[in-house]
Amino acid sequence: MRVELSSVQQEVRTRFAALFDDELMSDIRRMGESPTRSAVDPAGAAADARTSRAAVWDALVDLGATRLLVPEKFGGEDVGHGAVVVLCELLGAALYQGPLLDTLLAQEVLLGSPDIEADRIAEIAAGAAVAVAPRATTADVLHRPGGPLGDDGGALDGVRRFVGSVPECRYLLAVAAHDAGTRSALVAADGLTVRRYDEVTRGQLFEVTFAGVPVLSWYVSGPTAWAKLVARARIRHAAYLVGTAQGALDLAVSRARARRQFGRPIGRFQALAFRLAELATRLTATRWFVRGAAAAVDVCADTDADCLIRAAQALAMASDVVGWIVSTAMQVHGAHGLTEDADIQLFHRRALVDRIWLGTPVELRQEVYPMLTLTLDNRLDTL
Amino acid sequence: MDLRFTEEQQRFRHAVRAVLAQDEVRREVARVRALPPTEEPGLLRAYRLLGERGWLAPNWPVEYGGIGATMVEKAIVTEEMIASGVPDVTHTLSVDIVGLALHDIGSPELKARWLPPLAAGEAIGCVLFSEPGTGSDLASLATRAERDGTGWRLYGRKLYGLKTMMGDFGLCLARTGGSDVRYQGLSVFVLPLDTPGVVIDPLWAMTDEHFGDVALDGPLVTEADVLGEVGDGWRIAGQVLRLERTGIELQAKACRAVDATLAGTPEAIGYADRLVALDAEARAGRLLSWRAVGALVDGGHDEALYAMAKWHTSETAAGAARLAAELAGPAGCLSRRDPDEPGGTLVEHGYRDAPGFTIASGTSEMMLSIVATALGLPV
Repeated sequence: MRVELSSVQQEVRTRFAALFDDELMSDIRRMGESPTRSAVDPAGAAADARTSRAAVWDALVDLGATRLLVPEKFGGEDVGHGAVVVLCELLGAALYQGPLLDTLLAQEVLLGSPDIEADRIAEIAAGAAVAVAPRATTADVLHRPGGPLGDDGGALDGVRRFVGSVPECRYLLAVAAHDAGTRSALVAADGLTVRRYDEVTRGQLFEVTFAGVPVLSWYVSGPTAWAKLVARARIRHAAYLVGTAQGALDLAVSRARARRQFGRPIGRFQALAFRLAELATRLTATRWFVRGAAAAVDVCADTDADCLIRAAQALAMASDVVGWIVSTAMQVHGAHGLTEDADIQLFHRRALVDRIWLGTPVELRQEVYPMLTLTLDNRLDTL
Repeated sequence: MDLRFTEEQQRFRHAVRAVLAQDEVRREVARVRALPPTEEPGLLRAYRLLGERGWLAPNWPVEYGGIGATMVEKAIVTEEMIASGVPDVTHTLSVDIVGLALHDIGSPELKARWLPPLAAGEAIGCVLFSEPGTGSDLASLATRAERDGTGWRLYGRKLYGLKTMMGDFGLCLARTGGSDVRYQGLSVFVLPLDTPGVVIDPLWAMTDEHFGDVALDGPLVTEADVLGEVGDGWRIAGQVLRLERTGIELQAKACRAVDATLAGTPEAIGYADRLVALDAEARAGRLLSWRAVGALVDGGHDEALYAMAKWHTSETAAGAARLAAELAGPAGCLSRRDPDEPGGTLVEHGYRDAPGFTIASGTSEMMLSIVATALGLPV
């Protein structure tokens, strides 16, 4: 029993931390954005952002981000989710927008297939990014994907909405509800018709239209296997939100220390200091809860309800805490926080999408409540 | 990060659980949970059964009544005790706080005198810090120690000390002088409560555990009764308080309340959102507490971590107790003494206990102050 980072977790953090140092942070936070209204050369700024995104992806791949979950027999590191979430925390603090989280999910889908495509797995581990597309309507979400695209033949027709980072991906995994559970179709991303949304994050969100797009591979997941895949995606996303919350809290604390009113830093007023202290405490508890959920999912059986419960709780908790922290951080920044110069407004805009990306907190908690009341035995035996 | 206890730790947990599941312990728990309002649970048979095995203070050396284990085993005992409904205040106070302070700071003589009876469940140690005008601002205390020959006489009044009416001794913080700086010139005395000059009146509280109003009219203590060094009281008091702040007992109470509520009201679907969130907070608090325990095992001094653990677990435990009471309906207001009480629940008890969680051992506001300071926002 150790509630502290293991040596593997520390190694992963150290390995990737350099990519997210203070100097690069502000650029990474903006690399997914459309140019601001004040941009002198919008086309040039957009090209710069594209270059940054490609450079960050290459760096992540070089550092091994796409090999972390892959078994050693396919050239991966197989470090488990306990270590992956440490990277996700770093991504969240940097407001990283790119295909990594989707790619990790796609890797798990491929690795869970009875017909292992070793070459494809190796290709993705080597940096072929995958976008994941479960939404046909705005009511759809990863654990409740939209209907099939087309007539179940060898090609896809129809629309998938709110898909991230498609232009940077080599593949797209279209996820759909199916009689046997969930069926996913891998297609080439090149040549897909995409429309970038005009949305609050001004980020990398796209509508994708399929018209006779040939399917490269199908993957069918039963309900139990899909629930576990979803749980792991939730844990990664929860860790990302923990990182986002930490990034926003750090900005708020810096601002509270630097900004002076009434002759002293505003952070020395109890009203503000106590609020930030409470949020820092809630965030610390959430971080360990998410890390705990990650450690648990590495060792639990497919049918272990406790892991599913923890994953949903972790994401709901992280979603709540990032919401509280970002709104408080905006208040701490005052009018400055509303300006394009301030990083905190990026957090405010991104929080709207990221907090509900894999389900709203209330929905997640409603989902696991029936399971929770049935799994109350021997809970002291493990953390 | 490893959420699993070792096999040895698991065996220990299950052995403790088996002791607490004995019929005589269950009968005693049922009895003391329904005591008349003017009585309070003291040294229980359950403590002695654990004490006989060296398990009441397992982290102490064998010579002092423990088994030479670590704070991990100690925390396991606390978790099991609370999960089984055994009143824990006497134990937490005597072993976790007072005993551990003696163990860490006391002279060999003090340890030899007091630790074995504490570890056996045969003595109670108390904390005598707060005063009529002194709560969170401990450095404002007025109790003074005056030289008398080679010893000291204590004068003042101590309030809000738990278990003082049945206690054997108390750690008394008093002003020994020598400095105008209010944080200096303080010392901690190990004061036997049967010393002439100590007069204790009950200070009845709404909780099952009562406070004492302790008048100190010149009881004589010796140099040997000084804990640590004379004049080092501020640091020692801080250390004693820190020992209280892993939140291990608070998270255990939160988990107990949440589990009982979930088991008792599975149909409370309207409360599903709050219950699942509360369950997650309770379990997150458990992780924070165990992280704090780990820091103590490693000899760490992470003040912000202890403050976070105490704040989080106390707020969650209080919230859990209030929600449990709300969900229990009118039956939740019945004490264990009432024949209509549904049996087995601690809802009414927990509701009375809840406000104290965020006050005792450092208020929530003091904890936030410590955390804010660690953030670079001293207030």
